[in-house]
Parts: sequence; structure tokens; C-alpha cells
Amino acid sequence: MNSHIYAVLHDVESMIVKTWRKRLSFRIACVLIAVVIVLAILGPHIAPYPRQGMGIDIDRSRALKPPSLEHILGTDSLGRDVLSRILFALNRAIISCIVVIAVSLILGIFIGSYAAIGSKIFEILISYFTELLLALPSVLLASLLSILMGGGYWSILIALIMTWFPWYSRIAYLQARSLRDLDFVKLPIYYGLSRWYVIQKHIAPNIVAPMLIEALSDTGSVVLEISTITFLFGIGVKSIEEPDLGMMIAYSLRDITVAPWTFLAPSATLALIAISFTLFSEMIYEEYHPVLKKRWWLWF
Amino acid sequence: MLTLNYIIKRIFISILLILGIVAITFILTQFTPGDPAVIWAGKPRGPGAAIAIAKAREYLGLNLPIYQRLALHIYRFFVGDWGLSVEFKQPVSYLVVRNFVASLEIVIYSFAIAIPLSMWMGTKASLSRGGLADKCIYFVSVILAGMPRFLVAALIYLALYIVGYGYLGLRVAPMYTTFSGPTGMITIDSLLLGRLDIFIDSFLRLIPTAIALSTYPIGVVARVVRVSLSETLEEEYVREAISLGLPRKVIVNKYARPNIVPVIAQLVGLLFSYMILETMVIENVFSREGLGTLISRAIAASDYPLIIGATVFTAIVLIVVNTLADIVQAITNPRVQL
Repeated sequence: MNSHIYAVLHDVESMIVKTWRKRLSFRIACVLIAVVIVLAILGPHIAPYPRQGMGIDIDRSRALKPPSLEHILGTDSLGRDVLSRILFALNRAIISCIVVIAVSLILGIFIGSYAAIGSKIFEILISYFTELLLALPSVLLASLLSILMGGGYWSILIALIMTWFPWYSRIAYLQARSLRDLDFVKLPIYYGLSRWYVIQKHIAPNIVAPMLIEALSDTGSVVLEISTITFLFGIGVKSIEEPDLGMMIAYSLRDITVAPWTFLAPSATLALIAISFTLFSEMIYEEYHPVLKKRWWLWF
Repeated sequence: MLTLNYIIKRIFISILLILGIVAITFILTQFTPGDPAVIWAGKPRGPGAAIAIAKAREYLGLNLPIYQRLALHIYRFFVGDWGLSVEFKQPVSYLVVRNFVASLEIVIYSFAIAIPLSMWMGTKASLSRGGLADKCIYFVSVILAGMPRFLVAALIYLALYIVGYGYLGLRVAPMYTTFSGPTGMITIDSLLLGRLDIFIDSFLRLIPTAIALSTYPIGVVARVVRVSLSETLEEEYVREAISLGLPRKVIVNKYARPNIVPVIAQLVGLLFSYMILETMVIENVFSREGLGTLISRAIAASDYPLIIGATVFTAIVLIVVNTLADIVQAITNPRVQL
């Protein structure tokens, strides 16, 4: 198993290194992603005002202060330091997004490749079922689950997993279908090894590298989607004190005319995350695309 | 002939999918922890709670066997009896359709803005691939697609607010609120019924939201057009046409463009689901009537029938749109088979 993981990581690494050498915007995107992840991990520890960041320390006398040396991104309507709030919220956003992406990637790979090498009936059932789940709108599913499950943060994560994993299972299915007629997949099945074993040993290592890149590119959209859902309905946010990017934006909309920094700082953070993840994957795609990597040279 | 075969199969599958969606909502209502009647009645508290729960129990038919309940659920869905909203005390079907159409209007207008513009951008970029124009268009589209929609919408709102634009908020001016028409989309109804004053008013109210929403499809479609047009321009038949000395306009419009129509159709179908989410955000920022405001009020009141109805209706619209996209793809590209 270790050697498989090593091989996959090597594939991904070689893709990243090759693109890194050639594209400036890829380098910028990588640095931004690294900064965001480091900030998300260290955020709660390096926040200048951790108590305000958690939302415990509220003081209306210092509300809506413009950015200054003391508060680098200013303060919000309850007098909390916006930078500390963002650092706390970033931690939560990145963790939940990693959970969503990881779970749906694993589910997608296993379900998709099982559909490809399993029996015919199973294949048809799975492909219709994924199409069914793809038709469900994630926001409405999240709101449905929030009523059923009592409004926890889990309802958003489950709704997003339910709407994201069909994409991965579809990609995995298409890729595994091209592998299933090859000898190294057929022979172990003829020997009578179980299909799960074949998927783990022979199919997953071969399809996981491109899907990992795909998943990395979707990370930005998942962060955006989670914060959009919390922005809209406040699902999973118990109180306004909790740091959450979507809720911060929703509450700062009222003050946008008097204190635009309370709105702009969290939205710009989200935009930065989404754009850098998109650029990251797009650049790899472009570098490996047979047509796009060449310049257009025909004059007509 | 094969295309017709494909279309019939596709329609049949989408009917099955719609039935599946209805069945999934049934499973959600029945097999979740907690009493389904309590959830259906909106988790009531107070003196009237027992009566409301008893009513819900009778409505859901909880004493019937499970397959009869499923049949009842599907039958009721197709008859249009989706229950009574807890929050608004009105039929769910009426509320959902009315608000969905209001959101759909924005989506349609934003596609009408986005698709020609992004086609132009993508063509421009792919014809100067690797050049300056390509890079500019590429980064503009990445930024447009990556920006959160509330940022775009709030910036537009703020700009209009500062300028003093008087058409923000409602769907039409208060004096026209009694106006109604066959489709429910005010801009289209007013044109159909020949009320130009209402059309101008509602159009001016609609257009900022449509522009805010259109930034997302512009960003995505422009990139896809760029990639697929670049691929098409490298194909043999286009090179042949170039070597024959045909003018650029003819090559792009007659030879290359028709090849990417199926891709665009497919993409529009896939984008639709995300556009509904983005429309809700924009309605929220502009405080316009629509699906977003409906759902946020429904969540606050645990209005379960309303959310079930909205989910199923939206899912069905998505299935229909995707089916149409597949049919367009099959007609324009006969190689597609099921």
C-alpha cells in the first residue's frame, strides 16, 4: 500500500513541478494556497485578539473602526477585530472543505470503480443513482437536512458530500471503465480475488492522481459553496458570535455603506481562495493539454 | 433516426429520474429520526400542537402500509397537492412555482447576457492563443468566476446606491403589484399583454441582478469556449479550410463554431444547478422576492413541506433542463449515443 501512495504522490509532484517551472501565475497560486493553508492551521494561535476572534469579547464602543495599526482590517459592528475573526473562520472553512473533498473523493473513487467492474445491473443502478443525486440542488438539500437534523453544521457537510461525490464517481467510473478490459484488472478477477481488493490494488492507484488534481481544483468552489450556504440561511451557525466567513459577510452587508472593510475583507479572502485554487488546477490542465500548451501560430 | 431513438430514451430516463427524486423525498420524510408528523407540522409548540400533529398524521397517512404511503406521496405530487405551508398558510405548489419563476427570470436574462459575450470572449482568446488578448481574457474570466457572487452583487448594489439608481429592491413598482400574467415572469408578461410601462419598470429592476449573476457564466463559458474552440481550430478540416484560403470569418463562423454548440448546451445544463444557488445570493443582497427569500423564511419556521416542495421542484427543473441540453447535443452532434 505504501508503494502505491508513494507512486501517486510522485505523479502529482511531477505534474506540479513541471508546471511550476513554466508558469508564473501557477507559482503565485501555489504560494497563495500555501499561505492560506498555513494561516488556517496557525490562525487561532497567531490571531492578535483571540477572544474577539472567537466572539466572546464584545465592545460596542470600538465598533466600526476603520483599518489602523491596532486593528489591521478594522473592527466590525460589535467591535471585534476583523482580522482575528477571519483567521478563526478560515480554520473552520478549510477544515470543513477538506472533510467534504476527502470524503466525496474516497466515496466517488470506490463507488465509481465498483460500478465499472461490478455486475451490469449494479453499473446501471449506480449510474442512474449518481444522475439522480446530481439533480439535487445542494442549498435546498442542506436546508432540508438542517430541519431534519436540528440545524447542525453537519447538515451542510452531508449535503455537500451528497452533491459532490457523484461528480467524482462519474469521473472514476469513466476512467475505470477504460481500465477494466486490461489484463492487470481482468486476471485478478479471474483468479477469484475480491473486487474490493482489485479496486484497492489495481484500479485506485491508477486513477487517483488526475482525480486528486480535480479535487484540488474543486476545493475553492467548495469553500465558496459552504460560505454561500451559511451566508444565505445561517445553517449550522448557532449564534452570530461564531466565526464563519458566510455569516460575517451576511451581517456586514448592513454596514456596507458606512464600513465597507467589514464586508470587503472576508469576501476578498474568499475570492482569493477560490481564484488561487482555480488557477492552480487550470494551469496544470493547460500545461498537459496537447493543444493549449502551444501558441496559436496560423495567420489567416 | 438514431437521434430520435436517443431522444425518446433520454426522455424516458428523465421521467424515471423525476420519479426517483419524488421517492427520495418520501424516504427523507419517512426514515429520518423523529416523528414524521411532528416534522411535517413544523415542530409546533403550544396548545394547538396536538391538533396540528394529528392533522399531519392524517395527511401523511401514517397508519397505512408503506407502499400505499409511497403511492399516495407520488400521486399527490403529480396532482399538485404538495401540502400546506406552515409559515405562509398557502398551498406549497403555488408559493414554490411563483417564487421559482421569479428566480428563473433572472437566470434567463443572465444567460442571455452571458452567452453571446462569453462566445465573443472565448473566440477572441482562442484566435490569439498564447498572446496578450488571450491572457487578459483568461484572467478576467478566472477572476469573474472565482469571485463570490455576494461580492459582485454588493459592489453593483453599492455603486447603484451611490449613483442614486431608483430601481432597487422590489420586482415591480408598488403601483403595479396587482399585475399578473400567464407566465409569471413580469418582463415577459408585460410584453405579451402590451404594457410597455410595466416592462420598462420591471426590466430596469431586473437588469442589475442579471448582470451580477451573469459574471459567473461569463467566466466559466468563456474558458470552455476558449478550450474547445482551440481544439477545433487544430483539427484537420479547419486546417484544410485555412489552407484553401477561406476568409477568417467564414472559417470561424461556419466551420469551427457549430462544433462547440453541443459543448455549450451541455455546459449550460450543468451550470443551471449552481446558478440557482447564485440567484438566491443575489436576491438576498438586492432583497428581491424569489426562491432565496422564500427558503430563508421557511428555514426560520422549520417549514418542512415548503422546503420539500422547493427541493423537488428545483430538481425536476434541473432534470428537464439537462434533458433539453442532451437533446440539443444529440441534434447538433449525431455521434452522441446512449
